[in-house]
Amino acid sequence: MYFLKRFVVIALIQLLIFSFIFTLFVFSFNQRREVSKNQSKALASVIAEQASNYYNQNNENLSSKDFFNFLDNQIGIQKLTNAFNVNPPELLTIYFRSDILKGTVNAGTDDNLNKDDTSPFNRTNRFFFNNKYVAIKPFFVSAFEKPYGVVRIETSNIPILTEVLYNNGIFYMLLFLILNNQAFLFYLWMKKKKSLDPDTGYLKESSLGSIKIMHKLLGDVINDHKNSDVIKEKPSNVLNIDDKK
Amino acid sequence: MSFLKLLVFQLILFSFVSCDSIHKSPKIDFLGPVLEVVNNEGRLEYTGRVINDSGKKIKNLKVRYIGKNKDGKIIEALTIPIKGKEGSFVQQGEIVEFQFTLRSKTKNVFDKKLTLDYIQ
Repeated sequence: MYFLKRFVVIALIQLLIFSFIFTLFVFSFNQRREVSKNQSKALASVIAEQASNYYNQNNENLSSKDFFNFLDNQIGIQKLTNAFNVNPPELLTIYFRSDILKGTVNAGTDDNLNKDDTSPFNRTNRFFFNNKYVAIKPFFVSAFEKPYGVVRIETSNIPILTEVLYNNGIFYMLLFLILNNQAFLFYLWMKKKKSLDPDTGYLKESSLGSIKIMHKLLGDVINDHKNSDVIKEKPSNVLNIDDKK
Repeated sequence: MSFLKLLVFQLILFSFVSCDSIHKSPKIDFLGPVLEVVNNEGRLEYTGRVINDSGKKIKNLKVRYIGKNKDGKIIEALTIPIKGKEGSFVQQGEIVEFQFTLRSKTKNVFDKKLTLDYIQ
């Protein structure tokens, strides 16, 4: 029972320390994820602008290869995702309004081609959180008032998770050690001293035994010296003040 | 006992240090993102580029596509061979374009994964 109680207390303290470190981790992760979200939105806006330009110039004719080369000439395909450090999007998706309305494709948008956050196409729950972010931006051509299509960009949050762990792993570990150290010091500080109660006794049985033996030995030594005939000899170079008086 | 504690501490430390391997090294990779559009037949069409940054000549470069439905089941898996200037070999630093179209209905594809496979 005694050990179980101690074990529960230790487990609770460890849980408290882990919760604190996990809170710090979640805070860092969310900060980094917000940056990635803004980058995705910015990239979607850039692609939407380029799509508007391309389809205006080409009278709404579709050629994926031509559009790909157009993007490469205008911006450079490699430069598109340079801003993303660890989680560059794998796919740039262009869906046309006609295909979305016909039901040929599901873009995860509402009727006005704005992002529908409740759509299952915009969520992938794994490891207890939504590990996908989808940026959707409609693009327009001059002949239509309504959006001609949407640009959809998906980024994964998993690389951000590993990056935050990689950058802060040592810090979290040291924090864990320091907090454990602090918890131990706090335990020492709070540990109550045993009260000196003469009724109940404050010495252990074993300590009492040693003191009894020491007491007997010292008594014997004192008795031996009471009967001693050794004459005290004064050293010649020591002056006793009492003798002067 | 203290030696064991030290050993466990070292193992934890090295496990974090070994995360260095997650940093990208030069290899064969997609050059920028892959463009996904719906073609005239209502099928998903993919256009992209692959760069050989491995410092070696590679053979049998393939793009693998895996499409999953909302239940996580694979509904389409494609392997597209990439041909370089020398046929099945892709030279060091060479950029190769690819394009392919899916066979399955586009609206059923919830999750897509593109990977590269090759022999050095």
